[in-house]
Amino acid sequence: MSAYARLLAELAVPRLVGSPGHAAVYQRLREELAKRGYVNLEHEFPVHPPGALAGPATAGAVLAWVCLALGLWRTLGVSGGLLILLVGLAGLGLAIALRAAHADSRTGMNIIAVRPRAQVAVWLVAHYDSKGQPMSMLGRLVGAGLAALGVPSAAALVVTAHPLVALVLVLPGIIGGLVLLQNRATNRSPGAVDNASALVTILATLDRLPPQTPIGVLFLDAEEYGMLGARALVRDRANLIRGATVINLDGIDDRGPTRCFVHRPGPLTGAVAAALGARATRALPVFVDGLVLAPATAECVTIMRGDWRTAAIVHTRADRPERLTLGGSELVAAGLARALGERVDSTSGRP
Amino acid sequence: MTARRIAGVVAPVPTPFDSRTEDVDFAAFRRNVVAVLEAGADGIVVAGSTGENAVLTPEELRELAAVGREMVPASRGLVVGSGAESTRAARALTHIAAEEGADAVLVRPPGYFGRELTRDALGGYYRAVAEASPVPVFAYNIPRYTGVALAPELLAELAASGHLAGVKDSSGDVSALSAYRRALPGQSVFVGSAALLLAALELGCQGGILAVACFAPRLCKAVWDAFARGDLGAATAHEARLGPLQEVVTRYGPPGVKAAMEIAGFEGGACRSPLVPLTARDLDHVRQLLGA
Repeated sequence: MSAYARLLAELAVPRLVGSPGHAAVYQRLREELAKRGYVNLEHEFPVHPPGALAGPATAGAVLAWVCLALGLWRTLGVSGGLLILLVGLAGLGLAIALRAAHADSRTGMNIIAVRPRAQVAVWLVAHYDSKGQPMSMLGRLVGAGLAALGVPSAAALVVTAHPLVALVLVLPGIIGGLVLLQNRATNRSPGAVDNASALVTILATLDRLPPQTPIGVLFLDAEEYGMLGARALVRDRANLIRGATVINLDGIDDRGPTRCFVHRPGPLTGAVAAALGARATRALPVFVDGLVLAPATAECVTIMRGDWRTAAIVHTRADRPERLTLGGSELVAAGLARALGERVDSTSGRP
Repeated sequence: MTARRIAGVVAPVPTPFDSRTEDVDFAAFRRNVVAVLEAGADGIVVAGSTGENAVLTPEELRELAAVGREMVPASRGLVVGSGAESTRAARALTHIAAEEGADAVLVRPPGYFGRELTRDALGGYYRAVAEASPVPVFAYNIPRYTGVALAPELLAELAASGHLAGVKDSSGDVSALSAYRRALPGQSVFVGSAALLLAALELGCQGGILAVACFAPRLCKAVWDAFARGDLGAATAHEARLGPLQEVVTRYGPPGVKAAMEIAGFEGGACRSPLVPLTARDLDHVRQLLGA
């Protein structure tokens, strides 16, 4: 077992924000960075995770409200339908207010790491928290798609009266809604691909570059609660990434193609995509920290590696370190080190 | 991490204290930061000499740096004074400053044992701070308060080994400023005297960290802007008005700057003991200098 594989095994433990695993991984990452000559800065921010039932309750309420409103539209007419929509909106607002009032409060901690005397022009970024869900990311994406399909289908109820046709029309939305009802965060996924392998990849990239290469590291927290760490960084420390290039890694599997999602293009992100043999694209099926960070940067890209089978295990208990050889991580680290080694001037710190 | 973009007119914002309790008045500090930034300052220094660094606790410095980061947009610079009487303390303050989001630190040499500090000892102090610093380090030459004059040759050595991003010179001596500029061709050099701002710009300095910018920020900025657009006539005319204001700083120190701020409509606040407010006679003199 290589040193990187051992490290992956240590990092790939359930680590939802505020859990013991989360604290242990935070400490372990600081040690690894310090070993590489980095000074670690803490960036603390509040995290108010939604309650366990908040996601399902919201999904269920929204779906029921839409179906009810559209279903009664025909019976009550336009004004009745609008009234139901308004009541629904008020109910949703109340639910959000109640959720905020009863939110659990935890502390998120971004790790900002720099080498002394380096003028950082490139930041390597990965989130270090994990979360489990009763359903994989693939399942969630399918559910969201069906639920989205359910809204126009339910709208078609307005023009049909046949019960069988009506059932077929609302079925996707109901299935999608049922899937989304499972959308709650647990501390049950070890998160090997999402995102321990990216943490290892970043450390492996640093190991391939000369120590004086002026690269900073951001290990962000609470991504799984809506990219809260990235949002806090942009709010409190935009000065760090302003004018710099951000390379965000999120999900590095052994198998599948490497993808470069370019949030803000430029010469360095182009060189990174070329070195990884990846096609640079703009569309992204999921939310990642890079989307939040990009507006504050000069260039920004998110690198992912995997396929539909990767999506099928992300956020499940099956996302374990044993299923990874780190072959994909090695390829990405080698490509990144090549691109950064050629492009980042270790004396000036500018790409 | 981003030292190169710190340039222009930087205001070393004073730390206002409550006149009765001597606690830091963070609300007034916030208002002053907003006011100098709105007046065009390109950045601020927190807990510099004018910020009464020497009488602040580490916790107060942390809080001031955090407030500074909150108020200063990413496009402008935040520098925190983190020099101390020991290397260990300076390293700790530097880490605190970086943790709270400083773009760079301004490190004065130790003063109490100043006479005992050999060139090697001073070099060791700056190397040790820089080697532990996550942000660029600027040396701060202010012999008036520290009793230590930093030799340009020492700073050149530190810069060559990558330990120094630049220097702020508050000696008020244009020949010293010129020597720093020659010794640090690739680093940032800031002047600390408003009377020398135009001279500094002509020497190729990156700007001024000027206590005068706390009570006359627009005038400082006018010199900078005129010079930047190549209008030397206007720059000279503005400098002629600006130069005399330096006397407020050199003659009266932080109490004078705070009094001038009050006169100019900012919130100077009280100084922390043992510094005391200006006498009525001195206050009149400050008013005269400001033309108030």
